[in-house]
Amino acid sequence: MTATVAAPARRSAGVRAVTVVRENAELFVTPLLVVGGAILLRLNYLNADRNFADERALNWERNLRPQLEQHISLTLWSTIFVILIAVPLGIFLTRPRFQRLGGPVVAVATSGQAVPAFGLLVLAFAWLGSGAWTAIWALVFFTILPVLRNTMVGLEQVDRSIIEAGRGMGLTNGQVLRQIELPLAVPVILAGVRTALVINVGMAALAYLIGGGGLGQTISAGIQLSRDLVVVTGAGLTALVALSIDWIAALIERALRPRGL
Amino acid sequence: MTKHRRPMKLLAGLAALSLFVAACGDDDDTSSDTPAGDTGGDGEGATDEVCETALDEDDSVESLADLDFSGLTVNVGSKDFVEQFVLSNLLIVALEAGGANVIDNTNLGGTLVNREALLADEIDAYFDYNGTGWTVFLEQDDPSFEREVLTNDVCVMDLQENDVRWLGVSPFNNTYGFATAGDSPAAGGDLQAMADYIEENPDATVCLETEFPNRPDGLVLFEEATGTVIPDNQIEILETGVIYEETANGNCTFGEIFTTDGRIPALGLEVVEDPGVFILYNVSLTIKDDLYQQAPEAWEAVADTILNRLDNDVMAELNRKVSADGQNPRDVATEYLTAEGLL
Repeated sequence: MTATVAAPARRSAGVRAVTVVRENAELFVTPLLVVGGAILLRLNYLNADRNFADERALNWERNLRPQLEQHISLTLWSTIFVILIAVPLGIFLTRPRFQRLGGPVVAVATSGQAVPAFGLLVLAFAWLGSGAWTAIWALVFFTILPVLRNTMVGLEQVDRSIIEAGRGMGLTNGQVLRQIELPLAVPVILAGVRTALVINVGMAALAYLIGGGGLGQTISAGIQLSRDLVVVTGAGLTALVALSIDWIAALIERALRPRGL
Repeated sequence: MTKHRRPMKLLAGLAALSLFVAACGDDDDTSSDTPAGDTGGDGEGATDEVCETALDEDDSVESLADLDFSGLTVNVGSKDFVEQFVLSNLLIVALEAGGANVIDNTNLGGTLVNREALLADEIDAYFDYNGTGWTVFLEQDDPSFEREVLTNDVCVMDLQENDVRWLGVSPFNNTYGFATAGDSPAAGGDLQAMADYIEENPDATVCLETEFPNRPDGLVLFEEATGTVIPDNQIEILETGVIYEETANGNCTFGEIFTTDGRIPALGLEVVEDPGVFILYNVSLTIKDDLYQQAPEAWEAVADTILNRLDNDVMAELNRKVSADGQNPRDVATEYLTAEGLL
């Protein structure tokens, strides 16, 4: 990020101040929601009339903690693979020479998201067998679209005149990509990654169907046993994971956003 | 644990008390078969007198045409899985052979839907399981592990509380169990051998459905009986239907199954022998008492005739014909009753 680039259309100072306040509020509100939600779930658990199945299904050491860890690791691994695949692919498809491949590839990625999540998991199961890795690959295929599309859009929206200016300064294609295009595309790409993360948290709740673990086990057990407490706790924890992960992604997004944008 | 213990003591006390009452009242109690009209608190002692149909002799008939249901209209319900389709069709064919007018409500819904419909007189008869009756409907603990005794306990209490009779009891027991692939090195033992195998082979996996580890009649009974808690890394939680295939493929060394599922014969699975760990789920015909009183002999006869010959293998085979071969449950029922010489 050495080359200083003129930021497009500077926002007025007043608008900037309002935006900063709003974004900071967002960063404070989410942790409060998560902590409050966790306390509510705990109180709900303590005040409920619990039977054998509730005690056992909601046992922290035996069920909830391992499932929480599985859920987070399913989400993180699948998102890491999505980034590793979709970002380079997006860069490749926006190079002038390969641009015409963009349409077909995006169509394939779109189909990944068009197939119902459940169907995708079952297809992956039929092909790869049961287990967490199968679930991770299904999640990767499901969420490749938002990251790929945002990478391509992010790179394409970079002002052509800035790129021309870079060329005029004698930058090579690689330098233009690294020093101009990617830094300017980062906010859009990260927005795609954030979308992928949140989708993955929700999808990971279905991973239990093919032996992938995760909090879906608790939700499903609660439904099978007709125990509302178990369902509410499982679903509530899943929501808290989604909120937390989205919050962390927002922090990363702020840290990586180039100055002056 | 504590939840389990206290009711047991209470029950033991009740049992002792009722034994005492029964012993006292034994001498002058000559007439049997008094319906449960009197709900005088300690009536539980006189169990067999009220509800003898599960424990009494075989009332089977040689031919279903000998049954006399003429003039009766019977609305038959069933739960929403294959075994229930087969059972309700066996009953429907038998009732029709006996001259009843039958309304077919097979596949009405889940357990509670059928139970509520029976209590509300929206259906007249359906088959239910003694373990379900005891733990779910009557909310009792510590079920008996003798099928006739358990069914009798359920019948007595259900008759007193809800006017529902439980007729007959199947030899087959559709309970939880474990199975292995037929050619697995782990095949052919009992639950203790299974527990030992899991300890000796750290790569052995046990596949369970989500609710099984949490049910009071589930994994905990295996843990208590064998003293083995299966390590987390040897447990794989899978969707119910997938477990049978994965067990047959050898991806699950042991799979949690229902002991009369048609996929056991269809996939050649070997059921792990259960010396009496998982609670009993033998089936009985459940009907309201007022309908029973309209043709008591015929109802007892039809229940015994259908149920007495159904052991685990026969039931699983009938289930297989529907679930694996895709045959119509009605055809399977008719064919089976014909082969048994009952039609």
